[in-house]
Amino acid sequence: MKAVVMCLAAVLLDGCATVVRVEAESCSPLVDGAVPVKTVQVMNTNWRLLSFMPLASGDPENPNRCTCLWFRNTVTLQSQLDMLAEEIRRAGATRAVRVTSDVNKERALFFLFLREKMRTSAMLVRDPVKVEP
Amino acid sequence: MSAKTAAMALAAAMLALDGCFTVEEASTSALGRGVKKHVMVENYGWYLFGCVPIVCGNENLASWCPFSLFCDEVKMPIAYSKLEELAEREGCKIADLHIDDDNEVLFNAYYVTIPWVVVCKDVSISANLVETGGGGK
Repeated sequence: MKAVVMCLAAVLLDGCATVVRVEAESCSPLVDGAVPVKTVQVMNTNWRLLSFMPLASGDPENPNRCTCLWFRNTVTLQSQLDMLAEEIRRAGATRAVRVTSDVNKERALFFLFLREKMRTSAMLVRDPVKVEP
Repeated sequence: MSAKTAAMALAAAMLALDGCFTVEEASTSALGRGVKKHVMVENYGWYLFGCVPIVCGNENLASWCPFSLFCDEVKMPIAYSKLEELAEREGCKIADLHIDDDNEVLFNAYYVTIPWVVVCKDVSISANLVETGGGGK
């Protein structure tokens, strides 16, 4: 019984890092001529005990996979931007614009466990290539 | 309930019903030219019946105590003023402002909510700090 409970806890109280990508072909170019490539939302979640002790967090180096990091907190603004930078490299974009972030907290078993979710969304754009006269 | 159990429950409640005022800053070359940092200011705290403050994060970040007891500091203007202070200190302007607030009821079992007995209020603001005179968009 204890083993079942431990396994259930390990499965349920995990963290997850995900990246959602949407094509931005229908978006008009920006004022400075940069062309939208993709709209992305980067999300990372973690579980904490009593609001401060980290139990599990998503792995920002391997988003969209069934991996998590135990007893570490990776839900930080810097890790969100690092995932965004990797998405820029993957999409062949130059930079990210309109970067916004928010954080959401949920509590389970009254206040024993805290689940924190941080989301960062941005539009990835490609700057026009400057042609030498 | 014995005195020891009650004391442990009270200690756990004090540990869990906390508040926290955070100012997170991050930077990367992915933000492009002119954008110095991406920042997020957040504060959360617990309120009785949704209006009587119990505990929240201390807006005075230099203080030794991270909490403020019985103070209503989970407010948008307070969080925004911290963002303005940071922008002024960095010599930047604020762009791409995004504001979010959330309320969570503590006692919520089997989709039957005891309405608004103890509520956690959360306010967060994210923005990009753009160097003055530079273009970030």
